Parts: sequence; C-alpha cells; structure tokens
Amino acid sequence: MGFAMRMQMNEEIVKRDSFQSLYINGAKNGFSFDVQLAYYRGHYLSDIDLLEVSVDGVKMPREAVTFELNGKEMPVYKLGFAVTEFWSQVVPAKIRVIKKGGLAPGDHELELKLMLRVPYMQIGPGHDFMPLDSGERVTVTVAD
Amino acid sequence: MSKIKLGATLFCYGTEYARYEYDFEECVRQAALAGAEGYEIVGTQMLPSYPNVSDEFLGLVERLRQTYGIGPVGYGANNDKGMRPDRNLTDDEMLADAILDLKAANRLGCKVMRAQYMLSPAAFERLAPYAELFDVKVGIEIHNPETPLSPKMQEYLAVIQRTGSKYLGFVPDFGCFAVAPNKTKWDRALSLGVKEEHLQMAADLRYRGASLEEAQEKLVSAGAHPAIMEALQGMYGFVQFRPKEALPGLLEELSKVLPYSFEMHGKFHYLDEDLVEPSIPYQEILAFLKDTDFEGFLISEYEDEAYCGGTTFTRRHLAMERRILG
Repeated sequence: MGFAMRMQMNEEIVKRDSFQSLYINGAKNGFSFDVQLAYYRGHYLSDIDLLEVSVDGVKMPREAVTFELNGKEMPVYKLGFAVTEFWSQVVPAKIRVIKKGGLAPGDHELELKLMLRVPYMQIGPGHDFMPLDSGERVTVTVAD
Repeated sequence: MSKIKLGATLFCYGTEYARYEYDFEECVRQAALAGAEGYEIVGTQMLPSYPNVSDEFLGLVERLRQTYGIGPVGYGANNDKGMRPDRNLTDDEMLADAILDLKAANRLGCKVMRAQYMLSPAAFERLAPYAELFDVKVGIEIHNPETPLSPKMQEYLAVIQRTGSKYLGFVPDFGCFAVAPNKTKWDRALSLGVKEEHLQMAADLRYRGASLEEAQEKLVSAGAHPAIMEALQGMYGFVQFRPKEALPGLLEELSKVLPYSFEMHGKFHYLDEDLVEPSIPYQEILAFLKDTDFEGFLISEYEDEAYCGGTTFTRRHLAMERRILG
C-alpha cells in the first residue's frame, strides 16, 4: 500500500479501556471497543473505504461487525450509504463483533483496519483522494 | 493605510481538542488570552451537529462571547468533493452543500466563509446570490502550493472580476510565501537519523527547481537516510518554499488579489521566543500588508505537525504580529 495520511493526535485510536466482552442471552459471545478518528476533523461515514476487525490474525466475518455512532448501530455495508451521518473526531464510535463463545481469557492481538478518504484532498484526476489510515493494532486482555 | 484586526482560528488548538484537554470553551478562552479579537471555527472540526448549527451550540457561543468578549468571525468550510464512495460530487451537489455552509456561517454571525478550491469556479459563481442573501462573503483559500496568481487562482479571479460580486473573493494564506524549509519536518528528519548535510542538499535542490524525481535520485546516491523522503515530500507539497528572491514577486501577486481579499490567514509552523517564523517571512509580509488598503481579520493558524499543541505558539504569533504591525 502507498502513502496514507495519519494524524495521530491522540495516543489511543482504539480506546484500550473500552474493550469488553459482549453477551448474548447472558453468555459471552463477542466483544466491543471504541475508536476515535486519527485526524483533526470529522468525516461522513460514507468516507470510510475499509473497516475490518481481526483477532489473533483471524479476520472476523463482515456481517458480524457493526459500527455504532450517536446511538445508531449499523452493519458495515451501510457505511458507504451513510452520506448524512457525520462522525466528529471527538466522538468515539463503538465497534461490536459477534463471535460465538467470545474470546478466551488472556491476551489477544486486536487489529482494526480502518481506511477513509480525505474528501477535500484530491490527489489525481477522477475519484482519487488522499487515503487516511485510522486503524490500529493493540493487545487486549480478556478477564477470566 | 490598512485596518487589520487580529484573530485566531480555533484549529490552532486542534491537538489539545482531540486529546480532550480543551473543550470548545477552553479553545475560545485561550484564543481570547492570546489576544484574538475574534475567532475562526472550522465546521468539520468543532461544530457538534455539523453541518448544522444547533440552538444549544449557538447558546454556548453567545455565553462565551459574554464571558470572554470574542465570537466567531470566520467560518472554515470544507468542500468534500470525495464524500461519496462511487464518484465525485457534481457542481450542483457541491453548490448545495456550500449553501448549507453559508447558513451555518450566518447563524454563527460570521461575515466571512473560507472555502476550498474543490468548489469549482462555476459552482463558486453560482454561490454568489446565496452568499448575498446570507450576507456572508466567500473567499477561496489561496493555500501553498498555490500562489495568488497561480493558474487555478486566476480562474477564480476571472469569476470575481466578471461577476463584480462583492461576495466572492479570496482568503490568502501566508503559507504560500514560504521561503525556507518547514522546521518541524526538518527537525523530525534529524531525530530519525537523517544527516543535516543531506537535508541541506534537499533544500538546495528545491531552491534551484530540481524535480522531485531528480532530488530523490540525488539523495539516494548521496547515501541519505530513507527518512529524508517524508521531509522531501513536504518540500514539494503543502509546505514547499521558493527562493527569497521570489518574495517581492509573490507580494506583487498578493497586491493584485488584495481588493478581493476578505480575510488573511497567518499560517505558521513553529515560533520560538525570538518571535521569528523560520520558514515564512512575516516581517516582510506584514510590513507590506500594513501599507495597503486591506481591511479585515488576520487569522493566526498554527499547523501542529509536531503534535505539541498550539497554546504557547499562538500567543507568540499574535505578539509577533502586534510587534511588526506596531
């Protein structure tokens, strides 16, 4: 991959303290975490080109991942249509992943791939805009 | 004789804001403490209900005006041509979004809106009657690597002169008068192990007009540390610079767009206690501006490439401007 913009104004893009297991009918069946944009301004969700979550190198199925902003939870495929949903850079979004049985207790490598277009920075003729990398790879700990 | 008012864009405090060290109120308070007589707000950065201005936010803005004595004077618009995944926005769509920006600027009481050249000259022209209704003047930002009379800017100048609209103009950004390399990028390259002689070589190549490709080749064969490439990209990108001998010509260009300039942006990247910006020749620029007919805000804009926050630098910047303007 070529050059991508990244403005890591915050130490944490994925908020470590926000990581927790997710329960379905009382049983651990997934996890969630919060993410802040790595840029100085907010973006429409339709600027998101890629959102993928992997744990210990295994990519989670797209349909099992949701993105929640301002109390509205949506599947990943809808982000491209969300031309009126504006994601402020000081409002973290919540990513939820359904995973049967959840994550085993202990440390895990969590990787969020999050790529956007900087929509006012056209870098070539046509639909070619500066890529913005707002992803992060972190180690998270699942309690017993 | 000019009538210059000093302001600051709250963008100066973008790092503190993103780190939750400052909320909106603290940004306004710091701008007031720095001596700003008004501030610019970048909608996509600090409007909680962007692209709309809520009653609640307007209430906050008014309360802060009472408390700190300053309010918004400029609205920084983004023209998000690439916000759809499948194609660029059309002129019709860009225009419709820009009208919403005018509405936000008007509600906040801003008389000037800074727009970007993603808004085409044709859409810019069609914006004029709406700008008049909202009583908000729209200035296309002249941002490095553009200069006041670079070909792209001349297209806007043609629209302004042909329509004769008092609502269409420019917001020149002093970054386009840079005559030396960006200090922050230079220092970062040094900290990553790049030798100063190689950075100097890169700067010399830029000064004498070598192409980016030629500069890359020369630096590689001179054995420069690979981390020099980021600094080199800057020298050929948004923080490019020209030889100091080019400055009188650039200021001459500025004088041509001055009758249509609603606001100036005092871009800066670094400011030591000596109050001398290392890459942008403020002494010459402000001495020039002082003797013109310019009336309006000079808005300090700190670009925090060092991620150190803008509070101290912004105070120094206004102090520097006051010292030069007398």
